[in-house]
Amino acid sequence: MEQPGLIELIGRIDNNTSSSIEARINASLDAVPASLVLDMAAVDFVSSLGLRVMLTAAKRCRKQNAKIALCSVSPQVAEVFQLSGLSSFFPMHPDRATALQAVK
Amino acid sequence: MKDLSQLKSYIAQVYERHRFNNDGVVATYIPELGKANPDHFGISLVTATGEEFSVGDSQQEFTIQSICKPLAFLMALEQHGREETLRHVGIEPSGEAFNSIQLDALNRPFNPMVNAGAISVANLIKGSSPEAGVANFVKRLSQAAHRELRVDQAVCNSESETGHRNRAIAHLLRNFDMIDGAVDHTLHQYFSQCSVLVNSRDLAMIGATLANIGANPVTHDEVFKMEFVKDALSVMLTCGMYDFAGEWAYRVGLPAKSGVAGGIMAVVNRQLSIAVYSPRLDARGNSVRGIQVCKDLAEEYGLHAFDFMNFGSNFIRAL
Repeated sequence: MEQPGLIELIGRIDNNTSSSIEARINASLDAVPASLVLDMAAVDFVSSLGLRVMLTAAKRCRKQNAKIALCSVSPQVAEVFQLSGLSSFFPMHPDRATALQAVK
Repeated sequence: MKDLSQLKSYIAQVYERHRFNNDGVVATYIPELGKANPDHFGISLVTATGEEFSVGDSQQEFTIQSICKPLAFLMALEQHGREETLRHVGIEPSGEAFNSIQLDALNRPFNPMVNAGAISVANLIKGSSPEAGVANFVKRLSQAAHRELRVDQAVCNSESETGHRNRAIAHLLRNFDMIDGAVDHTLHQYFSQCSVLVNSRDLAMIGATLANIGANPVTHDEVFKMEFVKDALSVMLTCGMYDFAGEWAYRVGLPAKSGVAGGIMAVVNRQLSIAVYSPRLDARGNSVRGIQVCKDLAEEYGLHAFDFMNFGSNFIRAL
């Protein structure tokens, strides 16, 4: 079985970074259509635009029946997902190993 | 809001991004306005809990101009109620420029944000004497800004001496009995309201008072009646940016008001206000940098009323 798609995101997901992140996510889903794990350990901020990019990714996953998972989300970032009412789109896992296992 | 540091550093970044944008021209149709330094640029933020943050020329004073209009409308509603106030001014966007001479089918000005509507509103709040009417208006704005404000007499005189179009509008309104016979008193009230000196921090504090449903976030005094704050914010959203209002609502989605001196005051309901001062204006009379700053902030922080992050009603959420 092929390895799950994995992207390690770093810093801010915002105005400045969202378009390159979107491109990386799409490239990963092209290469590995069945799964996507976003490692958020080094992400300290997700803006509205950043959240939109992630939601778009989650919707693409739904459409192509890919499993998506987030891991190592900091409490501040997790709260943004919580308050937006969109956390159901993003299963969250405490660490990378669990997330990779979950999308298999 | 637990920690504003993210927002503060983003505002500082936005300031740097736009400070060398020299598009647009300073308004000169009121001769005194032409004296502004086109390079001045200030951004201020005040939250509904009274936290403040500013960058750039946030202490630089300028005349409030049209940003006085939603506040005057709010005062008219407080003094006369909705029914009576709306007999003298509509709430329909006109799509016309701010100085348009046009009335609706009931002979009312289209809304309180065009000059005709603001003159009709000035008639409603002008008080028993020219001095008392202006003093009361300045006092209310000072309470909202939490700073002693004053009228710039040079700008006021300049407007009064050259404002032939506004004089014509006032007499047209008089012809239709929209305003009473004290036309000069009404115009004095209107020109004085537009000539109140503020800085970007004052505007953000006034905006934060609206965001805080009428209570100043620092003193907690109720400056504006809670019941009419929504009225003011509604006309700001639909008519606040002159004939750019529709595009503004589409792209930024916040109640806001601009003035020809270069100010913009935008309100995020219950949370905060952002004010920008930069006197170079686009063809519709809005601050070029001011619009850019608001667009960037709205996009980054999902400020648009219909951003996918925002819920419509917390009542429904609580069901």
